[in-house]
Amino acid sequence: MSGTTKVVSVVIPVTNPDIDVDRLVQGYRKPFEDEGMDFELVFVLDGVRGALARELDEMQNHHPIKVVHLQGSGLGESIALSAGVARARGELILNAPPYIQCEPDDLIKVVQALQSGADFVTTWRHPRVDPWLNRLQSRVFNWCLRILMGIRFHDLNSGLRGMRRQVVQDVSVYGEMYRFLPVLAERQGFNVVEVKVRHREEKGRQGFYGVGVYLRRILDILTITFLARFRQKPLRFFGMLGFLSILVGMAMVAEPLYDRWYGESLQDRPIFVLGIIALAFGVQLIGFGLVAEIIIFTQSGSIRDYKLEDLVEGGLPPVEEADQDGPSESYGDAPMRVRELLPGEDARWDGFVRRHPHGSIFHLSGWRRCVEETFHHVPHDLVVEQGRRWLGVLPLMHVKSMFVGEQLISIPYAVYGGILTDSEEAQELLLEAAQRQGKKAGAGYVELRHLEERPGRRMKSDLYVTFRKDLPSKVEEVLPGIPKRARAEVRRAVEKHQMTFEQSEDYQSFYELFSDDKRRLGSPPLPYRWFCALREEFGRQIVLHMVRDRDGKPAAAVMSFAFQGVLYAYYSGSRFDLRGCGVNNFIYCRMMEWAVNEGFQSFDFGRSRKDTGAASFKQHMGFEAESLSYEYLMLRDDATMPDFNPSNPALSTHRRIWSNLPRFVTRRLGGRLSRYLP
Amino acid sequence: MSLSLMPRIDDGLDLPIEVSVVVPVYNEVENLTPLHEALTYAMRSLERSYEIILVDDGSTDGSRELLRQLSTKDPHLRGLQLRSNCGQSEAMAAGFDHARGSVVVTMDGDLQNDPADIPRLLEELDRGYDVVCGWRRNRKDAWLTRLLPSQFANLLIRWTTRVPIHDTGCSLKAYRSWVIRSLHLYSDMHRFIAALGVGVGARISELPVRHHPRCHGRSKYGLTRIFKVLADLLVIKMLVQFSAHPIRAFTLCSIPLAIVSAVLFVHAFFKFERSGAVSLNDVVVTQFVAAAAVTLLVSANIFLLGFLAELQLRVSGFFQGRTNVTSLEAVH
Repeated sequence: MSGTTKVVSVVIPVTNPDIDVDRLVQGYRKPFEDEGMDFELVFVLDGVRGALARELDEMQNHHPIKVVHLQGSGLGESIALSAGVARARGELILNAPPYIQCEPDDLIKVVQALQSGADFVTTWRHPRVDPWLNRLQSRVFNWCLRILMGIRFHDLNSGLRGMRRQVVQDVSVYGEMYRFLPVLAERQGFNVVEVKVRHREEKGRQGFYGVGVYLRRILDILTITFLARFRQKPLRFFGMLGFLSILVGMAMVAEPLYDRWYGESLQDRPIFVLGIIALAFGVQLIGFGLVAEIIIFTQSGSIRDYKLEDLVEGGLPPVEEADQDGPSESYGDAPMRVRELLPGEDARWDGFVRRHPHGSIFHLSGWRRCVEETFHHVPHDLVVEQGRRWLGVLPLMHVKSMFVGEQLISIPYAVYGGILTDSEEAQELLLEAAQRQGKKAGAGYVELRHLEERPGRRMKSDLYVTFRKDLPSKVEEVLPGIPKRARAEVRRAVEKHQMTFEQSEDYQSFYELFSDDKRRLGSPPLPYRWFCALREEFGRQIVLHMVRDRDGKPAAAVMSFAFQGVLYAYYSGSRFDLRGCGVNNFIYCRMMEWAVNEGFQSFDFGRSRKDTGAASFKQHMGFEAESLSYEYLMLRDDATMPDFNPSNPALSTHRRIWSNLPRFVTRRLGGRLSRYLP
Repeated sequence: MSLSLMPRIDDGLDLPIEVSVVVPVYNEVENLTPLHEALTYAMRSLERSYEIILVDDGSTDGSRELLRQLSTKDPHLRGLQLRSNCGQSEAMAAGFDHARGSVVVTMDGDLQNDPADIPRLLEELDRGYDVVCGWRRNRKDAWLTRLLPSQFANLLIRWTTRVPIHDTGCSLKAYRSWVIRSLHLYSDMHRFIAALGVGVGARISELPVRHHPRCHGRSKYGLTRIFKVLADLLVIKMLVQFSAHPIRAFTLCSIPLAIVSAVLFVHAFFKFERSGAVSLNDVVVTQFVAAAAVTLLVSANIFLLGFLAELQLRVSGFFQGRTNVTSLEAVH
């Protein structure tokens, strides 16, 4: 800012009628006129009337002078200063004494310091030309302040100060506190600068201050420091003192009491009484602190310790750049780069997944958190961005599998995963980064569980198929959509076995059914806390359906995910003894009807291995098998594709043993084992 | 399948603000942009009108310039710049003073809290609570210097205030604005806002939230915190349990002292009787009489202090103001 054109207001509080006004005005005018600065002198008359007041009023006509008459008298320099500032025109304020204390040229120094960015300028009269006694007193005073209060200024008594208007408005002072303005201003975050000025013999004032003046000032600064430091938390201060006092008191009382235990009398032990008094004092101090705290608590509404410098209101953006789906011109030529997801970006991640047509519930950050929490696998989620726009994401987790070694999987415990992006370039970047990441982690391969076939030639597994179907729009159309034989099974479940279908919250029973089923199939069940984590994370996006037999006992249950109009039937279990009763056909049929009622558009029956009983059951329900294109990026020469094929002889023994273990063992152990079976 | 759940960023600007997110920021220049983005994503998914108030607590690392720059692009963002570093409570108080939403959410500016939790907090709030506190159930912090002191402090806080909150130190919290209007924060009081809320009749709930390890910048508090927390506890205890009648707390202290004093007097009296001494100046009982007198004095003093506290509470109109805020909210 160019301050040269600005008006400088010199505020001069006057309490004493014996001043040489002409000399004063000439003295203060000269430097400004020499520099060609616009200025005004504001005289604040505090209880001064008579000749001086008339003379000053008279001078207003010839000089750039303003005179402010204060009502009453003896209001003090603090009030005089704020009154003067209120009438002053200038943005820069000089506070000067009503006598020439330093070389007038030094006024310009102060103004220049303000113009170069200081909010407050305090002066240091150096060297002093006072009588030696004054100098000594002043030195001792300032030295005390510097040592005791940690104040860095050398001459708080100097009458010349410069400040911005803002400072006077924000720092409230009263009584003699104006002296400590630089200290207070600095505490409130203003930029305070000290400037050396040349001292001149002070004409028109008595030579010597009494010691009492300094004593008063010391008390002032004590109050200021005390208020500033302990007003916030009186109990922290008083409580600490009180606590110390109590400790001392206890120590003093302990010894005489100990002696008394052994029969010695408390007589002639004044330390005992002293100790009691110390204890009492401590308790009082704490009580006092509490009262102070109550005062602060009830009054804090009107106390604002923060000083607002600026309030920035948000403006309207021309375009929202960060997440436009289409290509954005401004980022068209920015390089694409891959990076790991940062904490705090989960919401953005989820937004991207939701908007992407291939995004699934497994891609959501919540799934990753559940896996992290339950199985302690380490996530390495990747993002491709161009400028600030995200082009693609790849959720990855580092999994240690018991059977095939370490691997990066997108996404463990999920049936769909892999890269989400529309750009082939971004896909290549993600694949590269995933390989890099995998090598760094010492993994054998990266597994990408893509649902749709993605461009490019990589090693693929055709082991898995999935079953999806669009739902009809009316409930009545669900049953006719199911093949005849399955329909007969559904009817049998209702009519012959009187099974009932319900939406349930009985996750305990579900888990029993689920884990028994798993045991029979020879694979370890996921731990119960996995389901708890999922429920906590996804809440109402998780639905549990249950079929009960005619005795009301759970017969089958399916836990499914609801995500963007698709119902994913995901975890299921049914009682083995009811296998022949059409219980599975019944539950899935009713679930589809439920889904239609709830407005779902499609039903996802989930993945199965090709040519297994589960796959044929799903086909039997009228679903078509769709090949999943799981891809594998091999990172080591000796790495092999995992073979979970049911005909794999290595696994069939495991399975047989497992299914013959007692239930409590499989449940206990299964939770732990499933960590290695993503 | 593009989702209509995501409104454009300029949607809802003319509506009254429903949710204000207040985030104090101090020297977080690396975190500011990701924070703002994450918040924006979280808030936009809500379909409620919102504002993000970032309170720059006198940063010196360029955060304030960045804040200014960010705010030119986002009409939902309001930046408060404090002149100097006043501490988290003051920064929050500044944010609260400028928050216009009927719900106020607070969180840390260091991305250890996850903005994605905000919708869940608000959902919980809608179940009929006035304050929902985050609970960092699996914290990602150093065990000895951060977790242990914090667990200890939380245990103490739970135990003294009987407010069943596990993680008082978690900044991620959601409030109905009346709770905030009736509690003026000073010093470190923002930590205890849940407990204080109970004192003004708020219904409190708690929800596990995520917690990330710090990735940028340095953590801003250390071990010494626990000592301050202990002193604060005493205050909180009194404010929560005796906020209506502090004199009760003081009387509760003064009565046992009075009893002790009486016992000492009686003891001295019997000793005096038995010893057959003539004058009270007799050395046999001086100790007891003196101790009894001092105890009595303290007891009386504490009672009087309680009276003073009570007087202050009445005179301040604190409860009057609180009633105004609360009933205003009810009408609204």
